[in-house]
Amino acid sequence: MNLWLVGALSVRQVVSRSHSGFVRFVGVLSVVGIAIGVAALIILRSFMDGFTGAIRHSLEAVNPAVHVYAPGGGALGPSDYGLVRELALGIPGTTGVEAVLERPAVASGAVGTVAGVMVRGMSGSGDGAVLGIRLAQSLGVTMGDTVRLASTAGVSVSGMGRVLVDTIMPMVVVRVTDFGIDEYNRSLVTTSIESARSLFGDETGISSMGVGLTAETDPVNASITLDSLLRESYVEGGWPAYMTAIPFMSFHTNLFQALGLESLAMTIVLGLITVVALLNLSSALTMIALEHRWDMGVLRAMGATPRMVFVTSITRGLSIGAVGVVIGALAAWASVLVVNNYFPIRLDGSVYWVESLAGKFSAETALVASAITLLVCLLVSVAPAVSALSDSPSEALRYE
Amino acid sequence: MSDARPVLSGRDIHFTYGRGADTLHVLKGASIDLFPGGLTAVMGPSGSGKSTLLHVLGLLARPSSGAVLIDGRDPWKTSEAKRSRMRNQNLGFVFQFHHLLEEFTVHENVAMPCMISGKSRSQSMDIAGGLLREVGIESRGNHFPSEISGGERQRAALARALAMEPAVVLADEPTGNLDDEATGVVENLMLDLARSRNQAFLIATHSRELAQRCGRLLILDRGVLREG
Ligand SMILES: Nc1ncnc2c1ncn2[C@@H]1O[C@H](COP(=O)(O)OP(=O)(O)O)[C@@H](O)[C@H]1O
Ligand SMILES: [Mg+2]
Repeated sequence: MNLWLVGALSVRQVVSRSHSGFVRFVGVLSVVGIAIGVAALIILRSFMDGFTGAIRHSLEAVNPAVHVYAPGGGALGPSDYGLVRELALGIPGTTGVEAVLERPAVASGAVGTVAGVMVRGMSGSGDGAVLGIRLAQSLGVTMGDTVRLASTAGVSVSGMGRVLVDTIMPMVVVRVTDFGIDEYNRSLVTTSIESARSLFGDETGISSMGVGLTAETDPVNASITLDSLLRESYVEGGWPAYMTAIPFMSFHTNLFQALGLESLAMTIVLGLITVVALLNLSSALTMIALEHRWDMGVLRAMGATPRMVFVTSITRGLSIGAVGVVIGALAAWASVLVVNNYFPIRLDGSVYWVESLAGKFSAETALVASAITLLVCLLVSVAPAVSALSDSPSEALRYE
Repeated sequence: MSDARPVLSGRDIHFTYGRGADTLHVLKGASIDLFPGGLTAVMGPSGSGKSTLLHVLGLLARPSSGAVLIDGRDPWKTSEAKRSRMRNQNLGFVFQFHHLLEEFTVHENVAMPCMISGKSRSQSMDIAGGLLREVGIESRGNHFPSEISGGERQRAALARALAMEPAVVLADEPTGNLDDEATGVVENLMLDLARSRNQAFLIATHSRELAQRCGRLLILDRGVLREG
């Protein structure tokens, strides 16, 4: 089979100048429909990926990759700390191990302000408080100001029903930061573990430990390794309980599952655009086949095999599909670029966790969307191709 | 002539259009032998079945009964792919309405049978170039069929039919759609080509003049062929 001939036949017949206006209209409509369908899918996935990625990135930026804690929420003792540290540092890709003491507290800043906060003391952090930007705003403080923290450890209720707070600890705000996640920005205070311990009146308290990993290290694998090492050590040491290591992201499995589900649902809805476009493609192909029925009869008379007729027919559909897919993918790429650079999307952080949304165009997503669309174009082309195949050349030649 | 082997034969061909009550029995036992270098005209009124006969002999339609033989072989006892190959190698068609493909240049149209046969595009274009010269329209090669005259189109169609040097050329009223002048040119050209090549030509025509210039005349009458 002469591939040039097959290619030229199908492409030239698709764009033939002899087509009636209506056939051309339906043809253009199917290209446009496929382009819109593909573009919509890629744009949707780009922004869903961008959104999920932003949340993931912010969570990872503030939290250690792997958490080690006692099942049931029990406190870790100093010997646990030593053991976990030793085991974790033995795993390739570990950048550091921190002890964390994290508990709720009450903060007040400027006169009359008060907020419930989560104080996170970390062994790697310096003294003084780092506040999320929203929290700093609501407390009316900035860098260099002092916030007063009260822990529930020092709260008691007197016989008269008055709330007494013994432990009020002033702390200098050393930094106001954007943690990336709205919830953290509204309520997180980070400080040294020593400050947290004195605030909570717990000299050796460790609520969990964090293991930092290099970017290339997979948190899931690292936590599985660490978890089994911990299990061995504790069981060997005759302990009934042991520490558990889990990747931080698994605390948010539900969130990411929900996001994935939403993305899937929207993909299906937007896929309907493509379905409609493909119906259009089907009628365009039928009309083009009808307009070139004669030509196919002539080709058969010249000795074209049924296979060549079939392939030519299929290639018509594929070439329409390919043009639509390429236009759609390029349009999606350009749209994401333009939105990111000129029309940044702002979100309500209290609803969406993150406050800005940037699309993340992925070539892989674009390729998958394009490949699937082309595959379906191919399937849609089969019916007209089969009918071209079974058309009698003699009848085709008499067709006016 | 009778001692040569026919390149194409029709044996007791019947052909019926339609099914059930609504049938039209067009060919009722037509027989024909075509020999290399022979020029045969078929005449008959409109609707007598000339086109049908040519379609059957050209393997485009299967006879209801009887047989078509190409070089003594029955094409309907083999696969459609092999039959396509026989059409490509052994048969050339010229239709009443040129049937050139509008989206291709005249040169490409003439090269098409060669490309279908599996020859490369450049080789096919070379062969076609020679044929365009032979039919005298080499200067129109890069034009599209809609840009040339009816006579030139029919010359291109003739060149296309000869591209694979088939043993048999079937021409269905090749000048039926041309004015007198173009008819003269195309008829002369066709007869010249037929004499200079060792091919069998079967020409369906309404023109008594053309028929008389062919070596042999057959009349299609009530579904059978008789010598005229
Ligand atoms: N596809 C068809 N279905 C039914 N009848 C047909 C079909 N094609 C041709 N006919 C009829 O068969 C007869 C022979 O037609 P045709 O072979 O075209 O004759 P000619 O070429 O001699 O004019 C005509 O009566 C025509 O109407
Ligand atoms: Mg006819």
